[in-house]
Amino acid sequence: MRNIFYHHCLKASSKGNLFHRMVAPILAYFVFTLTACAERPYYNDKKVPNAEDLMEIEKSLKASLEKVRAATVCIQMGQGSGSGVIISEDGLILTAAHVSTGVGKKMNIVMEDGTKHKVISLGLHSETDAAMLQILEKGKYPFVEIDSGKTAETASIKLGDWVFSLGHSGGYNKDRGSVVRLGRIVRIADYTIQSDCKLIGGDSGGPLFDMNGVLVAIHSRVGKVLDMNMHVPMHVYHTHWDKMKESEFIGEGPFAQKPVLGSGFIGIGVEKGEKGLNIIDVDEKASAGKNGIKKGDVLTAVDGKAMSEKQQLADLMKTKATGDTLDFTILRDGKELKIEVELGAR
Amino acid sequence: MKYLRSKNLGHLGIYIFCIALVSCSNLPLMGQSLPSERRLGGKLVEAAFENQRLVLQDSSAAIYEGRRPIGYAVVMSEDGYLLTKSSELYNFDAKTKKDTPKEIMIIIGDQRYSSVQLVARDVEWDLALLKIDASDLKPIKWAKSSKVDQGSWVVANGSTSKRKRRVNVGIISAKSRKVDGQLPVIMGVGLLKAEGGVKITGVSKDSGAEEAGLKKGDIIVKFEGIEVVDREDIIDVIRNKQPGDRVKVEFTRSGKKLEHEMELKDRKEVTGEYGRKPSSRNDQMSGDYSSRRDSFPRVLQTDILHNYRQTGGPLILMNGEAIGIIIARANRAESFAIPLEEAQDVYNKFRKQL
Repeated sequence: MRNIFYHHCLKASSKGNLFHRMVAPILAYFVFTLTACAERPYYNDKKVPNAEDLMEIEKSLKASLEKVRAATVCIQMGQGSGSGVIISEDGLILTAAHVSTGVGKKMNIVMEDGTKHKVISLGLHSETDAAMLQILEKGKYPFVEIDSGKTAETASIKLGDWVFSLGHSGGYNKDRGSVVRLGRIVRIADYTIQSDCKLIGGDSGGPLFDMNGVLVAIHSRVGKVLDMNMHVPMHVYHTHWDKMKESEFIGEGPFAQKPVLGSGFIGIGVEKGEKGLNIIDVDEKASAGKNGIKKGDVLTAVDGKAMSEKQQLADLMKTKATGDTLDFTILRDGKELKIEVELGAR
Repeated sequence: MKYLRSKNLGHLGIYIFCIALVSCSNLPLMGQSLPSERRLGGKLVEAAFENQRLVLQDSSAAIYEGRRPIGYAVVMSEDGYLLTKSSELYNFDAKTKKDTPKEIMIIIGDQRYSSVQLVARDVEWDLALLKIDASDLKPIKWAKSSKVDQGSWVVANGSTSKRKRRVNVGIISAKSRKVDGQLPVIMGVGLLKAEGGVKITGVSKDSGAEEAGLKKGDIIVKFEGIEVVDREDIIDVIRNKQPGDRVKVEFTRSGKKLEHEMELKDRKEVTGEYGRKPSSRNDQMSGDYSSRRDSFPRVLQTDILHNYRQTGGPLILMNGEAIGIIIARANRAESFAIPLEEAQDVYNKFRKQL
């Protein structure tokens, strides 16, 4: 990529030998970091395509689609589902904040071929609808290149550019696969861009690509009009990148609400026992009952921390909120069990 | 940048120039919108599809009910056979549970045809054969196969005036596949797996089962000569049937073996309900989808947004060849076409029946 640009740049601006050897590479590097400069398709700069341009658009779309589809994922939350896209070999995923909904949440993703992986939500920016997830299992995952422009001014995307969207509309469907749609950038604002790629529920968090298959934005919300849909551009992700990677919940909404600590509810009654906390009561309708915890179980540890006093559990609950997941270690009939409990609302 | 400046001021100029160049060419037009004529569905972009528009003008028919266009049809033969979506040709009355054919008129090119004969229909694929009195029509050219890459441009009839068609463009946007849904033809019974067969748990009013005297508690053991173990055995037989087809049912009642013949009926003529209700949130955000939009053995999916009055015509590629017949606007962002292979099979079946 850098090499392509390097040659491109040289061709455009220099002949000198010294320049060629020393400055140009540095220059190319700097300029490259400012703009994702894969060859910009010529048809983007034509106001209106002719029949020949349409064939070129089709050609780029087919070539790029092949590259990026494997990195597009379906994200399965409790009730609904959204989409996302893997952007690094080790499994960093970009999605929308209203899909991830919070920090430290465990969910599943489904790859195009049906393979499932566990992911955890990292940080999010609740005011612009940007979020990150991380695949938990170590591995080498298919990923896409992202627009490196750090600001709205240096983003590579321009009004009128041809783009395509991918998403698992309405949830994962193996027979159908992810759905691709073509369109143009129809509006650019500070923190959103709009395209006329059609979108539907379930596409949220999915990728919007330029015709080279470079990720330029993430689907955020559908418009009132079918062909006016909003996406969060990459420069917004760049702005909050480090904080999101450090699992920070940024901003006060509206796309995600900060968890209220202490609001989580398990639905068990406990008393101090010999090997941990004896569970003496279970609310069948609350998360404890739903996750299969039974009266008579002994809770020995939560999230790996040994439990011997009631107060320890109470203190831990003060730091947790509705929707958080706890790993319970349980003794039942002398056998140790691991049970995941998602906290409900009080 | 500091490094560059101290080392070689001469190149700083080039550097700045280069940045400026790159920045300029990438400067987003903040808050500005792309004029609507330059968008995908805009007039200027549509103009690039003029060759495809001409194919639609000549090799597809616009169907009118009075002054209102209600759909399109594919020109199949020089002598006036047209293939189209069936369900849009009828008005369904929920009170009487009856389909009445609409009074239709057809325009192909700039020629009107006011005498249209409805020759045959198939509810499994929701296709119908029409015949007009003509002699020199231009039949659609079919592609070799409906297997085309995702991302391929596809073109359909958009809105139309009496004289001039408009295109509606998009791409193949997902894998070709089966779309589940309620079968359009029914027995009119509730079924539950039981010992030795499938037990009837209820019989619908006005159904073929009721007319044939089937009763709650009967246990079906054979259906069209096929041994019945569970519901699916019956559904598999019904799948390929048409309303009015008669089937043989063998069952036991109070230990006695009986055999009746019964008629299968159009689901909506039994239940009085037409189409899936717009129950999901996605559905509620739209509105222009087709009444019959699921339960197809195989479809192609595109990102063209037809409204329900723009189905029935051909789906063509950039080379003008058709790969299918547009069968439904399924929801907010998905449209389906019946692939050419299956459409041709149904057409050949229709012609053989004549």
